[in-house]
Amino acid sequence: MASSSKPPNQLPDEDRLSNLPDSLICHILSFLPTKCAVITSALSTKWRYQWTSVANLVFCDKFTVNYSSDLFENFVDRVLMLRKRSNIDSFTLACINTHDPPRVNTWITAAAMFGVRELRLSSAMRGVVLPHNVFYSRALVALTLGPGIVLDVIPTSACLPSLKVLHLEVVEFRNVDTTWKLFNACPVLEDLVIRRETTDNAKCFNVCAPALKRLTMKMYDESRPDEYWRTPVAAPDISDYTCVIDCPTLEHLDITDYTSVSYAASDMPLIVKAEIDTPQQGEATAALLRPIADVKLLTISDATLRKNGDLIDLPTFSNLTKLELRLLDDFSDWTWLLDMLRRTPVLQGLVIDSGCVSRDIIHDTCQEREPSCLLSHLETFELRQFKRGEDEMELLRYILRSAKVLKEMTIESWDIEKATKVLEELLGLPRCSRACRVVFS
Amino acid sequence: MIMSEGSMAVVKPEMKSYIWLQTTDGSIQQVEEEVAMFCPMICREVLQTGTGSSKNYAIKLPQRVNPAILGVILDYCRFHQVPGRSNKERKTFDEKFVRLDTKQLCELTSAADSLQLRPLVDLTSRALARMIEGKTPEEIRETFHLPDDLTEEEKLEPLRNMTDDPRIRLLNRLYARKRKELKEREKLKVNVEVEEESVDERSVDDLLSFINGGDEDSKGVRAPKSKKKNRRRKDQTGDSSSNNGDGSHKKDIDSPHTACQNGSVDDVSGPSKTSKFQDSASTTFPSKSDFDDGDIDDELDPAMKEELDREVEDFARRLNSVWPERMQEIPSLGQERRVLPVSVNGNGSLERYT
Repeated sequence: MASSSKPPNQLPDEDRLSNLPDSLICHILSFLPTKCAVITSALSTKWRYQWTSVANLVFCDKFTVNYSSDLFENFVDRVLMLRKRSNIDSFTLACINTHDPPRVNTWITAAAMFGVRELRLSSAMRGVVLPHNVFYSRALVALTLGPGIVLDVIPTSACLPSLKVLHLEVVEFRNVDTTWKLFNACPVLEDLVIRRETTDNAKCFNVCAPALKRLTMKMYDESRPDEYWRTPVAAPDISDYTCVIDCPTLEHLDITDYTSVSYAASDMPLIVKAEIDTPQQGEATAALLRPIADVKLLTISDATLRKNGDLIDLPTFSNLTKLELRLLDDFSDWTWLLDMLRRTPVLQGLVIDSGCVSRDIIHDTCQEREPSCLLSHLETFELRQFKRGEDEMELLRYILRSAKVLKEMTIESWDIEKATKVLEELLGLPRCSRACRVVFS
Repeated sequence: MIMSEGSMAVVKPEMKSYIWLQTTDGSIQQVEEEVAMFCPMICREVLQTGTGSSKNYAIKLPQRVNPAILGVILDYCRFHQVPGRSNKERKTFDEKFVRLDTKQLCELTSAADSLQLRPLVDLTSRALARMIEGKTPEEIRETFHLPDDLTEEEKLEPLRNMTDDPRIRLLNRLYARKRKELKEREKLKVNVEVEEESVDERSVDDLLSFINGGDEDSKGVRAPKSKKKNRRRKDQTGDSSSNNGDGSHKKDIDSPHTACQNGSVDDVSGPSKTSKFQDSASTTFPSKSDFDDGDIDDELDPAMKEELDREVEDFARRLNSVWPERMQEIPSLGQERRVLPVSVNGNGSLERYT
């Protein structure tokens, strides 16, 4: 086993790596998947047991050659048995193959027993039930449960006093009360990310978290086609899913929900940023938007704001300074937009993402009284995915005409040729605000 | 030395404050205050002991920081202490910054650690980790010029050389290999005996069919299913898809009767589960052929057995000589160690180490 050959008159290269202090070697090894860290035990005598001090365990059963489930299972067993340290900082288990369920269960139990602080589990094999002792883990700070994990019975006395971050990605909720029991056990939870793709037993998704700051919910329905809300007759309400959001300290809300038909939400006075995509839910969306009326930054799609063509019953967003609208739907005029802008009295920045659809807008429909924000507050306007459609031109003309304090209008377009033509045209338009710059990007 | 933004340029040189740093070789440098204070260790020294304000009271840097590496670290600090930089800028800088050779990276990690500059320690540690990841031990040794001081048997299966039972397994494998060789020599002489063999092992199959043209011999080889069942019985999980070696491993240990005491060897080998560990890194290890031979060693004549035993004893003695040092290195290896240390006595028997 030769090291690289050197010219004879050179000093042998020094082994600087092994001379680093053990704590540093351990730190370096902690950035490796556990498989690679263990390989270092074959390097030299000094390295035989360095890996046993590493507190981060990352197990992934992706093998390129010579796979057998025994291989992986035995490896995990041995690592857990032979470590020098009795605590585990972070434990990641990602399985794309089938494994013996009791053994997988044992590993997770062991991780919890060893005081794991960050636990990440995912399994392509469906039906890995989380062992009970995880729900009593005092040290757990971050828990990420990926696809394939099942939350079955959660003990009523479950308590996760340190849990701050919880990610549930396509986790199966087996019982009706699973959700509220789970969140009930996390008094200091700050960050919650939920992604659901199937309709499971949790008909009422109950997020009750007194300390929650960030909530992201992506709820899709496999049985519905993409963009189902585009059809003239909205898809029949086949689901009876409801969602309860009781998070009084919430600052950031991000909801994409194609399943729930009704919402109940507590007031959220601290809300700063919200992204809402709940198309064609009508009153349900209104019920969701009312508690976040104090939001400062809002990203929302037109399909969410309208039901069957009409603007839903919106509150006044008295603190909203930046609004980003995604245009996904078809519509024939911009009145709904003006109505929307009437509810945002202090809006300073407006971004419209024009999307892929070109619409036939009846010319000069924007004759009504301008929203007050256009007159007194709007400073920046941005149009994305500009296609030089008549609908967009109409809008641009209107904005330029009405926004009194507009400082900058940005138009994002991929087509430079079109852009230059439009720029010329726009520069020639009557403008309300003198200081306005038109920028293309 | 003034590298600052435009606004700083108007400041007269004497208005800028400097910190004086002394490296172990005695040389003293003067560094802009805001750059030096980016290092927590220097910051602490300045605030707590008041040193660093003049050449006579230069801050003595830790031993691991030589002038050259100090310069590199200060470059890092100089860039990052500027508050207005975007995350993207910092990331781009970092990526370029760690394009160093292993020698420099190690020095840098060590020095940054002694200055408690955590972000730089993480950056260089990650870079070193990237250089380790995915490589074989040989490749890693080459990259970092590590000494190649493990014995061959310790290197045979890297992932398995974590406990001490591989030694025993190694012994057994040596047995089995030897036995196989002897057996094959015999078979070459006497074809008839082949039919009574119970080996249904592939490699032996191949060998036999190659020699014998693959007619009645191969049939004979495939026939003894009963032996296979024996092995399966020992296999705890009953997973028939796993290597044949599982159960036979146990048999293997039992078979060299003269050399082992059954009781202690069983302890040493642990539950038959551990035998699977061995099979796992099967890329480097010709598992199948060896274990199956455990079934037929009673057919060897005593003379050959003796020869085998002598070889094994030699080997075991060799292993054993390294054993005591090993034991001291491992104060505690996990909580559930089931393997008990074993030594080989003078008479060739394996006994529990006391």
